[in-house]
Amino acid sequence: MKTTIQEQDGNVVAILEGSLDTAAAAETEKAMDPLNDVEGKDIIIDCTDLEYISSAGLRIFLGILQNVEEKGVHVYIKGVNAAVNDIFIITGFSNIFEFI
Amino acid sequence: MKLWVLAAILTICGTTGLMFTSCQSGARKSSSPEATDMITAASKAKDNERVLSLADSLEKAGKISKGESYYWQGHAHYQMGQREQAKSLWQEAIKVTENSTDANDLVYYAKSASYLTSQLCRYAEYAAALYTALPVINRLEKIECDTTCDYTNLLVFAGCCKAYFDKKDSTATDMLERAYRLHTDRIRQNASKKAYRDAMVGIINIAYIWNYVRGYEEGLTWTERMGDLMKEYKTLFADDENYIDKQWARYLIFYATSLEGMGRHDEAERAYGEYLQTRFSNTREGWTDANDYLTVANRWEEAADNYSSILEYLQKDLSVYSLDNIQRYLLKKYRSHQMLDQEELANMTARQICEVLDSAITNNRHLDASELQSIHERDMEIVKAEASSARQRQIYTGLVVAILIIAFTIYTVFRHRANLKLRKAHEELKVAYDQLEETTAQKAAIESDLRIASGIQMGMLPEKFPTRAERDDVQLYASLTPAKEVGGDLFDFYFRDEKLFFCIGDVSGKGVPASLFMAVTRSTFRTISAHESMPDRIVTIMNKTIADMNKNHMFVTLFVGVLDLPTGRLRYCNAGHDAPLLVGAGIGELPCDSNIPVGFMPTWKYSLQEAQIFTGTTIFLFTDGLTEAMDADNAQFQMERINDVASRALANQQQEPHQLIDQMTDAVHQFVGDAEQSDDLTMMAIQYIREQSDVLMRKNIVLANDTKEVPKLQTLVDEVCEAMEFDEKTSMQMRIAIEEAVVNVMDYAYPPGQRGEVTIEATSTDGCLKFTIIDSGKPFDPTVQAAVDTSLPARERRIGGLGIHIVRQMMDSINYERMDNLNVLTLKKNLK
Repeated sequence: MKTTIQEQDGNVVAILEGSLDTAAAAETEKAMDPLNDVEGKDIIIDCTDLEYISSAGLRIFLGILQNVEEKGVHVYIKGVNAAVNDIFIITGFSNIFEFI
Repeated sequence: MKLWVLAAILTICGTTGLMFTSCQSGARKSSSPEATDMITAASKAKDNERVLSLADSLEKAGKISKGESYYWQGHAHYQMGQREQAKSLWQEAIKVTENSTDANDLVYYAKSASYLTSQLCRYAEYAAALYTALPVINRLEKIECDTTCDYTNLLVFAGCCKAYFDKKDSTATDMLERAYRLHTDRIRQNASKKAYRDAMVGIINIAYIWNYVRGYEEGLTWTERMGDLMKEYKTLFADDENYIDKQWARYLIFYATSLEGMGRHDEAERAYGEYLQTRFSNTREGWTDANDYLTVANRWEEAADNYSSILEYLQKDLSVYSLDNIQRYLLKKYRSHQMLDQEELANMTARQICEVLDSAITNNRHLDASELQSIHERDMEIVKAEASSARQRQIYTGLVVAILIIAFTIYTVFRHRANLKLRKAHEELKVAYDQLEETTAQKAAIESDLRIASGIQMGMLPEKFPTRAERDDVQLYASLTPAKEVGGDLFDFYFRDEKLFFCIGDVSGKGVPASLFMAVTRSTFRTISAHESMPDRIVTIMNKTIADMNKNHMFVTLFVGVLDLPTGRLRYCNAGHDAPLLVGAGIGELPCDSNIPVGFMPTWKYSLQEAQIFTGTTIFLFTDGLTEAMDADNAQFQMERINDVASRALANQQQEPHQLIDQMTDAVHQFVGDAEQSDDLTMMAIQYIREQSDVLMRKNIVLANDTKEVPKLQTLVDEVCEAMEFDEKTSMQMRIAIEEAVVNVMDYAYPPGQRGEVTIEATSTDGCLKFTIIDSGKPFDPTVQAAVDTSLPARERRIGGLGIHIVRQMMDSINYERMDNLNVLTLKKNLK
């Protein structure tokens, strides 16, 4: 599982590649921690190459969102595949994140 | 009935009373003509005393009206020269008749007014005359009695008075012309003596007044009219010599006077000459009238001579001079002498006047006084008469009122008594009605209670049972036949996570309270078993909950069972209820601890029991409504019979739930016969029919309770999915479901830090794929976790619970069992 954080067009982009299962969760969480400090910009989580996500991964996303929401920062999810989208829908996370 | 009689009596009394009072008031509506004739005759005969007495007595006898009486009295007094009395009586007459509408009254109203006015005019009381005449004229005109003779006369007098005050007054002329027209109309209608004579009187008066006020032109006109009338009269009634002579003479004198006044001396003289040829000219009256002309013509000598003649004549007749005579004659004589410069004669006359004036005045005063006294006496009489008649009226009114009061009292008394009787009857009726109402209300209350209770009970029970097609692991059926008075039996079942939760119970008591208690019991069962899979835990918590809120000291016997469908393992807890029957290889009772009914003691700890149900066995549950069903002889159905029926059913291969219950029902009905059902009859039958399918594939793996091991898990899942030939999507679903379930176990099964093992086994049969996750940690049932609310916004989302939620969504069923100190979590995916 690979996590890369970049700045793109004035936004902070987190590129996730691989399977975000429970085993990989701890490591990914650490890697995505800087996103909690974003201010004045929007966050885009790029899931184009994300094959799989478990509830542990969802928890990471939720954590980030709850932290930056009050700062007015938007969190966008980009490029989810069918399986991942399913998970989002089932858990209702599709209602709390914005997708692009 | 009595009412009408009383009312009739009242009416009669009232009317009679009123009649009496009206009779005595004297306001009689019509005079008798004989009476009037009597008086008229007396009057014509100039028997004034008789007229007076007749008028009085006839009035008292009710033969003539008050108005007529007063009129005649006035007339008589006038004839007797008692002017004041006449005046007063005629005024009375007018007063008592002026507001009447009776024809008779109006005649005397007009007559009295006419005579009174004429008298007033005669004595030059022109203002009083006008004052009297005008209201009468107005009233007569208003009620349209304005063609009578008397009315015409009134017009004449009123007109003359007006002319006297202002000879240019046009209303005077109008009135006089109108009067003339009325007279001529009357003559035209009926050329009778009376008509002519009446007309003459009127015209003479008019002519006289015009001459008197020196309106000689008008005087001439009227005199000429007078002349025309006389000519006509002469032709018609030639034999009425005296009258013709007199009137003709007067005409001539008036004629002469008018002519003289207008300066036509010669014509006047000629007329006077003619006059002297009449017989009338030689009478006292004639001399008086002649002087009217002579004074106008300034022929004073002749006038004086006339006056002397008059006075001589008078001295013979009269013993005493009255003011009237003095004015009429002595004063005029004196003036004549004066005009003739006959100083000596004038002085003589003056001395004469002085002599007689004193006594005349005294006399007049006496006359006045005596007249006044008479008037006063008469007034007193009238007042007394009025008073007495008023008193009489009062008496009669009093009588009538008394009669009315008596009648009313009698009526009231009768009414009162009737009322009392009625009220008593009413009271009795009311009491009876109240009793009836109470009874009815009670009955209604009971019935409605029963309806409510029944409604509650039946509404609480499950109605649909799964069919063979729906479930291949268990069949069940139940029936509840309520007694007339709701007994509070209950049963319930539902499926959750591959387990069948069921219960059966019997609430103590009856009616609405029992049915409510039953409702509470059922809902408590459902609520608690949603989070508890162990029957003892379920019952313990139910007991605490219900006992805490149980003020009425009700209780419920209960049997709670949880049948694990994959394995056939039955866990149960009995709380004072009848032990169920197991109908399988044989007939046997399920061993039950009795414990105590639910609702008694909040702190009681209930015991858990277990049994293995083999495929094909039916669990038969019931309430004491079955065992204690009574026939007409109060004999009970009892356990033996139940066993018998069950044995028979078993023998006939009819132990399917529906069949079994039907058989039992029939047997009870037969037994009970016509006797009334005393308690609810409740039965439930659950048959375990699960067949063990052949296992087609089996794989397993053992992991340590470390999430780092998850990739190994994934490998297993992938292998399985491949073997099952799942598509990508399904494989993904399986992957996440298994991962979440296993991670859940890893996180919670063992105390933190303690190392433990988790076994994951995958098996497939024809119908489904099964993943079983087993661990030896503390008892942990992931299926009882609270559901996740996926609709909450980010801020409110909780981190936990997602895992199980995902598992439930992805898998077809999730089942937890605690078996031999092991947590066994089974996830199933159906393949068909």
